[in-house]
Formats: sequence, structure tokens, C-alpha cells
Amino acid sequence: MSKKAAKGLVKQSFLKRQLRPLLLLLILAMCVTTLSVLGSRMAREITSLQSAPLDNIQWNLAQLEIEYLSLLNSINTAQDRAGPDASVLSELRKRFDIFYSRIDTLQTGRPFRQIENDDTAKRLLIKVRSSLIEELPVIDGDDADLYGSLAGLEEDFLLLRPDVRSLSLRAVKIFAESSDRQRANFSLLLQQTAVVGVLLVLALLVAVTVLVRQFQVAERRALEASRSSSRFVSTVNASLDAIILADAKGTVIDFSPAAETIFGYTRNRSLGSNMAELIIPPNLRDAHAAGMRRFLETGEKKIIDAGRVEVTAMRSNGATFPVELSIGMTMEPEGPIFIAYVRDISERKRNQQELMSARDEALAADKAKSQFLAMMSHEMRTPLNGVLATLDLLQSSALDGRQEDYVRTAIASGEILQQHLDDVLDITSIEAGAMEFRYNYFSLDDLLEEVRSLNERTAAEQNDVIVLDIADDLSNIYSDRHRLRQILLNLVGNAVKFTQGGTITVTARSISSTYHNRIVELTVSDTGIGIKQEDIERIFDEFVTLDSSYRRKTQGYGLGLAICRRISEGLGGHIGIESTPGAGSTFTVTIPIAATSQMGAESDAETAENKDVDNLKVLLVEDNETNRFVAVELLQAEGCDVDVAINGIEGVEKSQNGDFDLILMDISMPLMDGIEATHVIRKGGGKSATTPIIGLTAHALPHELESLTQAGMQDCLIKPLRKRNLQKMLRSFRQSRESEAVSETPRTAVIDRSVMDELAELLPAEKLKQRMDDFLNELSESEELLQAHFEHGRLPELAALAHRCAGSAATFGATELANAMRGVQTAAQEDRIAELGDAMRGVGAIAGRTRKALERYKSGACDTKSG
Amino acid sequence: MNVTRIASTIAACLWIAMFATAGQAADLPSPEGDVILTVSGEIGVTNRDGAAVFDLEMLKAMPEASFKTSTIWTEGENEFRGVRLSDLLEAVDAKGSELHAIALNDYAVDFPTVDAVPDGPIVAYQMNGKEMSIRDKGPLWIVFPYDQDAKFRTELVYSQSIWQLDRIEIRK
Repeated sequence: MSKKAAKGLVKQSFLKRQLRPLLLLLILAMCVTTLSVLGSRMAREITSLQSAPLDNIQWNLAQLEIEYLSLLNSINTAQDRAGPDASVLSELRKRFDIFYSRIDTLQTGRPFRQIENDDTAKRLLIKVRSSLIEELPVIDGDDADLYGSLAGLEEDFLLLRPDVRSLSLRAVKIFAESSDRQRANFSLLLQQTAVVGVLLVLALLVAVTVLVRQFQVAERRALEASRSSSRFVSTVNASLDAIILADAKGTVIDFSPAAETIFGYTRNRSLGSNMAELIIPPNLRDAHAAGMRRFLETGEKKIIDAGRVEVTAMRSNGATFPVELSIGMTMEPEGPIFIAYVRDISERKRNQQELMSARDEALAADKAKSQFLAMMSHEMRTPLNGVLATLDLLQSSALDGRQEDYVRTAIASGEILQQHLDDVLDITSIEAGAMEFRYNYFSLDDLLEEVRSLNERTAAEQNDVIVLDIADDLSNIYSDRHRLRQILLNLVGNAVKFTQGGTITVTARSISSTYHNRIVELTVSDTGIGIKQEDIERIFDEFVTLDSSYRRKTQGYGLGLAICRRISEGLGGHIGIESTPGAGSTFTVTIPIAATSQMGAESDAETAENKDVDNLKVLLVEDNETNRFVAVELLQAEGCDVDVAINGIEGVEKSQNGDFDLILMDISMPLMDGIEATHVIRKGGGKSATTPIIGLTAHALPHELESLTQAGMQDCLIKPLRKRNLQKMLRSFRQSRESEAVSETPRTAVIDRSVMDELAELLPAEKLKQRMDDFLNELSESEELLQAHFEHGRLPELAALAHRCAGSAATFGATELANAMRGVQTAAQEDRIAELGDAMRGVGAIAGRTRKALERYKSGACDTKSG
Repeated sequence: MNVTRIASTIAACLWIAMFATAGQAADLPSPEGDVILTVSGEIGVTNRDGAAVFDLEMLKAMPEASFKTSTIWTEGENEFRGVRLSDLLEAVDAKGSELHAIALNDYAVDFPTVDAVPDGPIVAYQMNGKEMSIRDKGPLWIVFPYDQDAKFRTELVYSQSIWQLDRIEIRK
């Protein structure tokens, strides 16, 4: 059956159900009407029968002949007398009169009207009557005449005999027929009444049936209702939560057994009482009453139907305790009924409290441990830095072969120790949820090469070969080089350690390559001892204690893989392992890299070829003597003129007077730390007030870097200060100086690439493009409008618009434009008209540049570097 | 107004006076004209051979009653004048419970004396102010006020409406 048909049927049956009583009523009404019509007809018939307008017709008709014969008889009697006998004649006259009267009655009497309608009878009647009238003179004459006429009279009357007979018979026939007709009519009426009566009875039967069925249905429903009600009662009684019903006035209507237990009132005691007085603590009753009033007046629900709410309730002994409350409402004719479910949660609260304090204690202990670890490793790093830096210096001095070996071994061990310390620091920062990333562009090829060369010596000792297999062009990827290096060093280092006379293969390939979403897959495979299946699951967990043999072999290097996993995930990627015990393991790292090969990459591979360029004047501010010594040596080795200051105050002083190309500033120093010193230098307006300042810090956490930038530093170097890092920093510094020299524009970039890259990460390519288009359109419009405001001197509007534009520009990293706009805004706000003109012109030029740069970025040629 | 009328009025007055003094036991005068009604049977007042006989004048001397009504035997509405049957029964001190009325044509009918209610049947001697001949269902006709009440339009009442009334027998 189709859905539609079924619907139709449902509708039909609904109609049927609705129509049936109506139909029945209609039938009943019709029956009653018909019956009443028939009844009134019957009543008429019966009345007419009762009224008997017809008298005793048959008797009258029979009487006609009898009276006729009596008359004849009296004539004969009179004839038998010898002479006129008065009494006999008087009798004769009487008989005549009676007969006459009879004929007259037949002619005028209402019962005999039908005779009038019958031609034959009428004719006969008239004939008899006229004969009688003819005889009247004789009858009314004197006795002698009458006596003399008797013979003629007899003759006349004898002649009438057949007429009287015929009249009599005719009339009998007429009335017999009429009475037949009447009977037939009456019988028909009776039949009709009977039929209607039967119909009525049938209809009544149907009605009774319907009523009986409806009664049954009602009974069944009542039964169901009572069952459901009893089920409901059981449900309520079984509930461990208290269930309380109250009306709008707050009067308790029902109080469940659980409520009795929880609140300590009996049901009988609570019914009819005010709920608020029973279970709400006195200090909360006003709030409750206000809430109820508000609800009743405005219908605004706060707690009703709002799910579970935690409130305080009161027991019969006055003790308060926490409950979880949910209130439902149902509308009844007398007003709303509120159903409150109340759960005693004091036990749970207690447990929760205990759990929370236990957790707090554990956390506090853990934090103390982390702080201790961080502290310890930091404290160890500082002297270690000194050792390593000194070893670096020692290595570059004239040494014989053995000495060089010693130094190299010392450096290698020192680096391992440093790595351990770094790991501990990493884990603590991971635990603090503070791992952050520094994204930049770099060559993966170079990174892999670096990792290989760092492990080469160890590999040689183990008779291992490290093979690199780079499938795609990955010379310029965008990720956190330091973190990725950490992963690779860890994986390759492990592979070397667990492989004896085998091959470690490192592969890199790009597995997905949309513009903004490129993923690189790195694998590190070894042919070593492998890892047992049951350990694979846990190998990436923190502080996991694998079986002792593994641990022994890893030489306590248990944090590495956990860190790798954290880093991979932090970079938006994933790390996995496949391993066959005895055959080797393959670690696979997949991470997204936003990369375009056109991007001008800073190449690590580039060696320091720029030694011969101009000597840089460098101010080193460092309080630690060892570090200062190392740094000076390293800087001088790089061809810098170094001046030193031993604390922040001295650093500030020297910068006031000296014109330095670069300032290296230690961050944590006594008297005045590096951040404050930088601040003072920037504000001080001395000779080196605009000199780039590079921070030196052991705290490499990103938020710290941010505070350095805010203080006015350009970059920072992470201690320990190593030759490699220093060289790299100087190289990039020199490059930017060169480009500055070429283009006249200040350091401010047209487009801050990092901002754009962040946007690119956040937004899908399409959306970003759309946004950029919007911004470009807005920029064109705003330029015109700015010009218009400027020309008409509407400075407040100009300031407001410039402010808005600065905001939009900053969003897209159009730093230069944003700054220019701010200049316009300030000039407009401060009414500096001359300055405003310059600023407006500047805005025009910068907007052009910004537009070009953005178009370039959009078309993929994202060379957005300054200049 | 002729002498006989005056005489009869005086006689009637005398009769009333006698009736008033002597009560129900008052004697009936003897009829002077033709006897048109004979009441016999269980009666307390007689004037001839153990029966009470009446001529027209005697009936006319009794309290008069009249009404207009139609009948099923006559055309239109007619005015009937006569003596209430109840008055008549009282006049003869009827003691029976049943009344047996007989017509000149020997038609006879019985009805209980209690049916002779004061606003019921009259023994009519005039129709529309004229005495009725035998030919006109006279000289006496027991007429009910048919139009006045449906109870007077029943077969029984019609059968009791005896015309050419001649004799009444009061039976126990």
C-alpha cells in the first residue's frame, strides 16, 4: 500500500469515526420525525374513531326498511278498521313521521353524506322523499280524508318498496366500501408505523451497540490509565532521587519515598505544606520566591527545564546539603504543576572534594618536580656551555693529533650531556604545555645532510652506513628546523645505536602537494635488533620504562621518542613505527610543510664566505666571564671589532657614546637585565639607539622571545653560543644590511611574510584569496575617500578611516602601509596639516607597493621580502 | 300573551312555590295537554299510574336550559332549548342508577344516571325557538353540547342522543 493511500485510509477511518454518531443521530431523528408524523396521523384516526362522527350507520340503514314496513303495517291496520279510528290513524301518522324523519336524517345527517355523493343512492333518496312529500296533504288532512285515501296510500307506498330496498342495500354497500377503505388506510398506517418502529428499534440497537463499544473502549482506557498510573507510582517510588510535586503556590502535592528519606519528612507531614518552608534553607527562600514570582508573571524560566542545577537544600533537622535539582513543569487546568527531581549529592561532593585535593597535591608535587628538573638542567647548562665553548676554542688552537682526539671526544660527550639536559627541559616544557614552534624556511636536503654527518662518526664505529634518499625537491620547506632536526637526530641516533654492521636509510619524499598543504614523509629505517611488538605501543610514551635490556641498550635515553612524538604532533604531523624484532625498525614521520621552491631560502649550507666584508663594530653585554670570553673570541674570529660591557648599565652607557653596528645582549644579568637595558637604549636616543640588538638567552621558549622583540630586540641567539649559530646570525645580519643599502626603504617590510603565512595556515587558499581581493578593493575605495576627506578638511573622518585602514592592513601583514596609515591618523588627530600632506603622499606610494606585493603573493610569486 | 300562557305561568309559579316548600316530595301537576314524555321505574314522584307523565307545558314550566351546538344529524349550528336531564331526574326523584330511554321508533338506549350532569344533556323541546315535530326528530330530543367538549363527541354519546324521545325508565 502506498503511503498516500494509507494516509487516505487513516483519514477515512477518522472521518468514519467522526461521522458514525452523526449518521446515527440523523437516522434516529428521521425515525422519530416519521414516527411522530405517523403518530399524529394515528392520533387523528383514533380521535376520529373516538369522536365517532358516523353514529351507528348500519343500524340506521336497517331501521329505514323496518320503519318503512311499520308504516305499511300501520296503513294495513287502519284499512282493517271499519271506519276512521282516531288512535289507529294517529299511529299511522306517527309511523309516517318517523319514516319521514329517517329519510330526512339520511339526507341531511353528516354520517350519511356519502349517500349524497353516490348518484344512485341520491336519486333513490330524492325519489322516496318526494313521494313522501306528495303524501303529506293526505297525512296532514283530517281523519275521514285520510281513511278514504288509505288504499291509494298503500298502493303508493308499496310502489316505493323496491326503491327503499335498493336504497338500503346501496347505502349498506357504500358504507361497507368506505369502511373497508378506512380500514385499509388504517392498516397501512399501522404497517408504516410498524416499519418505522422496527427501524427505530434497529437504530436504537445500533446506538446501543455503539454505546456499548464506546463504553468498552472507555473502560479499556480507564484500565490502561490506571495501569500506567500504577506504573508511574512504582517509577516514582523506585526513584532514588526525591520527586516532589508542587503547585504554583508552592504547596506540596506529592512527596516520593526517596524524598522522605532525603529530607526526613513523612509524606503526610509534607503534603499541603509549603515546599519552600520544608526544603529550602531560610536564607534562600526570598530568592526562590522572587524566581517563582518572576516565572508566574513573565513566564521566564531560569531553572525550569534547564537541566540539572546544583543548589543547596535543607533537611528536616535544619542541616543544609548540596543537591542536584531539575524541575519540569506541566500545565493543568488549575495552573502549573512543578515536578522537582532532587538528588542528594553531598556524598559525591565530598568525594569530588577529596579527589580534587588529591589531584591538587599530586599536581603541586609534579610541578615542584618539574621546576626542580628545569632548575637543575638550567644550572647544569650554564657551566656546560662554558666547557663546550672553551673546547671549541681549544679545538681551533694548535693541537697535536692526540690532543685533537681528546678534545673531539670531550666535545662529543659534552654534546651528549647537553642533549640530555635539553631533553629534560623539553619534557618539562611539554608537560607545562608550553612547547611552541618557530617556523622558518630551510632546506630539508641540507638538514638531512647535517644529521647524517653528525652521526657519521658513531655509525663508522658501529660499521654502519647511512644512506640518504631524497625523492623530491625539498630544498625549501617551511617548518621548525630546530624541532625537525631534533626528531631526525633522535631517530638516526637510535638507529645507529641499535644497528651493528648494517645500513640506516633515511628517505624523504613529498606525499601530498597542494599549494598550501604539502606533506613530507620522512623515514628512518635500520637493519638492527628491532623492537618487540608489545613495546611498540608504548615506545612513544613519556617516561616509559621498557624492559631493562632495552633500557640498558638505549643507555637511559628514554625521553627521546616521547619528545619526537610530541614534536611531530605539535608540527601538525605524526610519527609511527614498524618493526620486526631481529630484522630492524622503520620510523615514519609525516609533517605538513608549506613550501614553494621559488622562495628565497636562507641556506644553512652556505658557508661563511663573507668574512672579507666590512668589520662590524659589536658591543657585547654579558656578565658571565666565561661566556664573555668565549663570545669575544668567537666574534673576533668572525672578524668583528668587539667592545664589552659587563652588565646592563655599562651596556647602556657604552651604547650612548659608541656607534655600534650590532649589540649582543645577555638577558639575565644583575643590576639591569638585558630586556630593561634594551628598552633604555631604544628610548635613550644615543648613538646606537637604532642599532640592532641580538639577545643571548638560555631560555628559548617562544613567549620569552616575544618579550625580547617587544623590548626592541631584533633577534636572539640561544646559548650556548656556538660558532655555527653565531656565523649564521652574522651572515643574515650582513645580508639585511646589504639589502638595506640597496633599497632606501626602512627596515619595515611592505608585507610581513610571517603574518601572511599565518593567514595561509589558518585559511583555505580560496578564502585567503577572497579576503585579499576584498582588502585590495577596500584599499582602492579608501584611498579615494581619504583623499576626499583630506581635500575637504574633514579631519575627524580622515582619522577614523585611516585608523580602520591601518587595522585592515595590519591583518594582512602590510606593516608599512599600516604604519603610514597610523601616521596619517595621528597627524589628522593632532591637526598637523603640513605633516598630514606628507603622510598622505606617503600613503599613496606605499599603497601602490603594497598592492603589487599582495598581487605577487596571490599569484604565487610570494617574494614579499622587504625591498 | 294569551290567557293560557298567563295561566300556565301562574301555575308554574305556584308549582315552584309548592316545590320550594314541599321539597322533592312535591307532587307533579297532571298534564293538561298531550303527554309527550313518560318517566317510570324507580322514581319518587308520580302523577299517573305510578309514573310521571309530562306534557309540553309542564316541561316548559321547569327550569330552562339552552345552548348552541352543531350535531352530526343536522346542518349547521342550531340552538336547542329544553330541560336539563339532571333537573328532570331530580323532578321525578329518580332513585335508580340507570336510565333506559325509548324513542317513538322503539330505538332504545341505556346510560347511567350519573351521565346526566348539569352541564351535560338536556331534553330539548325547541330547536331554533320552534317546537320540533316528529318529522324534525321531535317532540323531544336528548341533546348534548357536542361542540363544547370532545367527551360529548363519542360513539356512546351519539348513541345516547336519542330523538323522538317517548319514554324513560329509571332502573336500579
